[in-house]
Amino acid sequence: MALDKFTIGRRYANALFELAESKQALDDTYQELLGIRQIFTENKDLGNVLTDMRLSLAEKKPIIDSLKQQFSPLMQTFLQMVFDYKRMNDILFMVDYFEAMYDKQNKIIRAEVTTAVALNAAQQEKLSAQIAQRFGASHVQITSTVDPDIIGGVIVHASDKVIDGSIKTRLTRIKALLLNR
Amino acid sequence: MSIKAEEISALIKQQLEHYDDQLVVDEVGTVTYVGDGIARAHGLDNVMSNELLEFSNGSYGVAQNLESNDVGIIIFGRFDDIREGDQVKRTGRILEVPVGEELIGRVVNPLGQPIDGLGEIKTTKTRPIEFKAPGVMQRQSVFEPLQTGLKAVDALVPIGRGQRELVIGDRKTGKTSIAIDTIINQKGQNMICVYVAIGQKESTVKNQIETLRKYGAMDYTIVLTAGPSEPAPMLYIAPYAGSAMGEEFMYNGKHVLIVFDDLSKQAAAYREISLLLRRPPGREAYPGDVFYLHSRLLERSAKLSDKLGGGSMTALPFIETQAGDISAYIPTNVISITDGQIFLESDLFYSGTRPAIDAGASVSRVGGAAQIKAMKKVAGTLRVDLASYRELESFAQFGSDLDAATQAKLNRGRRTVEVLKQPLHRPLPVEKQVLILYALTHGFLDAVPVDDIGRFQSELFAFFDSNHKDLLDTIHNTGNLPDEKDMDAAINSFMSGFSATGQDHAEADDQADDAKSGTN
Repeated sequence: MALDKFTIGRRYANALFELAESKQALDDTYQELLGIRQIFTENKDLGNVLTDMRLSLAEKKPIIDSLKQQFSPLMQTFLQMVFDYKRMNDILFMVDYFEAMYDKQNKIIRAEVTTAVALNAAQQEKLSAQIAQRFGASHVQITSTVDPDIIGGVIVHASDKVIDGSIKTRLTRIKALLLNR
Repeated sequence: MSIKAEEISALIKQQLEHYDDQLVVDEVGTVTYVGDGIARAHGLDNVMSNELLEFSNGSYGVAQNLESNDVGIIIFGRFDDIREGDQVKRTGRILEVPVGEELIGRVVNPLGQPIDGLGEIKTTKTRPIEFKAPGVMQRQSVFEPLQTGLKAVDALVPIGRGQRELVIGDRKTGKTSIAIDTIINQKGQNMICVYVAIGQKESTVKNQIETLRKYGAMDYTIVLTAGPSEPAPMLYIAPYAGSAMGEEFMYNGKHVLIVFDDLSKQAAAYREISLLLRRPPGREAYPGDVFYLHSRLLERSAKLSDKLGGGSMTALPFIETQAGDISAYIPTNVISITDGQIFLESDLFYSGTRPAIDAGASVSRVGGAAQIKAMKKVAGTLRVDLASYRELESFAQFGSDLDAATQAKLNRGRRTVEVLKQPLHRPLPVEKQVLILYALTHGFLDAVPVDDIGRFQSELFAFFDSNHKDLLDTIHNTGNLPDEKDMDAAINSFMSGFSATGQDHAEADDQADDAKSGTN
């Protein structure tokens, strides 16, 4: 059975993480991977092009070379290896898993916060302190979105958990209660 | 009629009082694949096996496969509006169905929701659909009879309360009729019946319900149906849901009869789910745990000890064979799990022997202990007699020079087969079964022409009902055979008034009778 993309991402990311850790280059590697993620999300077809069987190696080589040159030697060898094993279209899963490992080591929590109105700096500060306490993290990175549909309150989505304190959810719950469902 | 606004607001206020505003932390995952009643979800790291999950469209599912990267989920309900990327939420519960007296007389789906259009079922209790079967100390051996009302079953393969008796045969051999007749005969026997239809045509199920209603059997019956148009997960859980509904009564000291019609379709549904969940296929492409699928289900039917109230759940699982092949995978599995089987044969069915029970291949491993004494006495040698008749029958076709003993055996055999025939939906009370079998085994029928036996039987019953009710009552109340002298005298007095067809002047009348018994 073919390996699924999560397994592939986990294996490559694990290897890179351990290597970077032994070279004490974790932070740098992480920053570089963020760069890679940006390149790959901006050029959606890049991963597919680099693994495309219909293109010859000579055609793909200039692309990978120009991609590589801006990175450190460790990252260059990593990219070359991923390219050689034709896993370039799974590179975002590797970045994701690397990020998860990095976050775990540094106790970083990434939270998606949805509110009806935009949060100001003080509110965001207070919220992140609360989230940090709740999840036992030392640092919280908040991505906030504004969705007037939820009427009021906050929805926090962090590490596979959802804390839903929105007015919309409370209203639906009251509705279900009143209709006895 | 006017509705007062104050009353409504008072009601709402009262209900709102119970609304406690709590922040709940939900654990969620993301759907990565959906189709064919199956979903896979990423995340849900702490989910437990068989836990109930809720999709964002309101459908529920059950976690089946916990793998390193994702969770395989079977979906109950709509899955056509679940998309990749949707959220799926843990509930921390396991799948439960509503149970209780309120379900009796209703038609429900495997989730316990009514589908008969008779409105909401207001149950107060629920039970998990998967429940551990009672252990050794919680049981006792089977001793009370379950009267099916079918002579061929009650005499040859008696069933006790708490037994699991397999009904096996090809399609169109009268399996469902046995179940329906048995349910009809439970009227006034202090029995609650659960009829679980798995993958049966909706039109067939509708007919069965109408039949049950016509004979007043819906007053003590729950019908649970998962039609062929339902997704496989519904068919898979149907017998477990039915067992949960039956268990509620069993653990309350009542007697339950549960019919699974049929388990081969459930096995096929489970095979479908397993293959979609990518579990490795084994023999006939069934997954490795298909034996456990049926053994854990049938083990839940039991006779409970007196300490637990002495309730019982008798199971009649059905298996459909292909061209009489009982050595296929699922039939052998279920035969080895159950306490005996009733084997129905299409050849017998088409030759007019209905119910088409093959006496040689049918057995009951525990039911003998549950037979009433009178029945044991009259039916004791019936099986052997019938078997030796079948043997002689094929042999006797070659020549006519047979000695008197063989002739007598053949004669008796032909009449035995005739007596065991029984028309549809006409179950017989046990005392009448004993009566006709007594007449048979004591040779009263030997002089009656084979064609007249149907008529003989009905007239004998009518005669006893009006002239010798006391004898029937003795059998019914004590379970013992009355004094043989009384029985013989009563039957002889009937025989003197009985004339075979052709000897009577009222020929036209008898022919009409014969034609009737012939079609039965």
